[in-house]
Amino acid sequence: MTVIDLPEDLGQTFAHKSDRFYFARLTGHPTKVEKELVMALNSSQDANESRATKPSSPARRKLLGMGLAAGGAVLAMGTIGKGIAKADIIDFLDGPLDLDPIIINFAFELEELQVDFFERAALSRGFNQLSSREQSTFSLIGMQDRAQFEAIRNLRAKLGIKSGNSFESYNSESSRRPRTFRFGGAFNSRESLMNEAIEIKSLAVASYHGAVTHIDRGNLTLAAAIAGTDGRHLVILRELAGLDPVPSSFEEAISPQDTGNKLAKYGFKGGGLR
Amino acid sequence: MRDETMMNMNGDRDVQILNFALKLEYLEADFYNRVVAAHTARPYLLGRAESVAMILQRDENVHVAAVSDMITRLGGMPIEKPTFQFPDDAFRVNVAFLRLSADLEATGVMAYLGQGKRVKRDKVLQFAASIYGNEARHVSLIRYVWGPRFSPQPLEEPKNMRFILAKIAPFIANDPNPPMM
Repeated sequence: MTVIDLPEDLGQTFAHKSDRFYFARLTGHPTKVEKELVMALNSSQDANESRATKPSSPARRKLLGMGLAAGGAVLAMGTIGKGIAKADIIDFLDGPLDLDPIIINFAFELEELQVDFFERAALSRGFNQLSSREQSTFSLIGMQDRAQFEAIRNLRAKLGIKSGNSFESYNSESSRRPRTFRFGGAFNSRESLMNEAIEIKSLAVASYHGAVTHIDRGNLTLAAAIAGTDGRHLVILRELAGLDPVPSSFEEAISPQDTGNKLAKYGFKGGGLR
Repeated sequence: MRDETMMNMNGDRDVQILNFALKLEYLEADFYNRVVAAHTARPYLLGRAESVAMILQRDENVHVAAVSDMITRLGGMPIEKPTFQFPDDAFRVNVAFLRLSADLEATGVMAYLGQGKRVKRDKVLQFAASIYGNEARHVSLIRYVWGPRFSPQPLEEPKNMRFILAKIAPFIANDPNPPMM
């Protein structure tokens, strides 16, 4: 039997914890970052709840509300990813941290960004420079991204996850998500349009694959169903651009934090995860 | 003794799912190996279809090796490769190849998506997802070359193991492995 080496990024993702993070209790003293997080948690008494379901732990709800509003969960995610102990946080949370609202809000904004890009692209100068087959590809992608956006919106409603605008409204004005994203000169020519479309789709696909183990299995099928279709979009965009449509036998996975940072140039906030 | 332990491990759900995936990967790899061999002997793939067939042959054979390897790493035993059969025209007529290829790739996508939520181990889920994403690219590309809409719906459709096994049954001439369900 042939034994192959898995892609390096896949191996890294194997080190991730399960879809629900259980912080390992260690005996050492908390780090400065940990102390700051616990202080932030303790001062978040007024934070709104971010999710109506699974209300078993008031502390957990408090963290999620604060995390989505003020970025505490970002801090938590970043430090979990590095494998640092969170003994004090365990005490505070009294249970596992449910990341689904954070990941789902991330996906929601990711779809919102794609919808904004492809719908505005259809009205742009660059779009007029596309061939008819390229134009119909862009139109189909825009239409399907809109449907995916609605699917995630419905999931959020079903789970009782508050809207992005709602949880951001008690954050500072500067962190409010823009109505539209910033795509610079992407719409000016065929080349820039294709390049930007490929970059956005690549990050979207890799991001879904990077988040696959962070989401509850019950919500996994929808996220994966979207990821598959986004992969369909990406391969045709690459084909149209003259790039290798399937450069690897495995789909790349990048952590949502990393893709969120790369998408920040568009005004992407990351649904509280960045 | 080792074989006995590995067979016992085959009762593990993740190993069962991976062996189910392996059967599909065997099917796809066997199909593309025959397609490329037939085309080499007597060219019939037109335009982009030829190079796409080679991409798919490469990927499906890599998937067979990778899934087998993952099963072994989990302590299980990979199933034996069944003997497959395909309609002859898929090895003679370009559009027949494209149609069957699109069907097989779509079956793979539905199968992986249907099993995702059943997978227990994160490393297995991440691994399976990386293949699922690749299969989604395949079906889109082959449909694009064929002609119909490359993405007929905004969400991929999951199908359970029973559905998939029934769908691939006509392609299996002989299966030395015990029934999966």
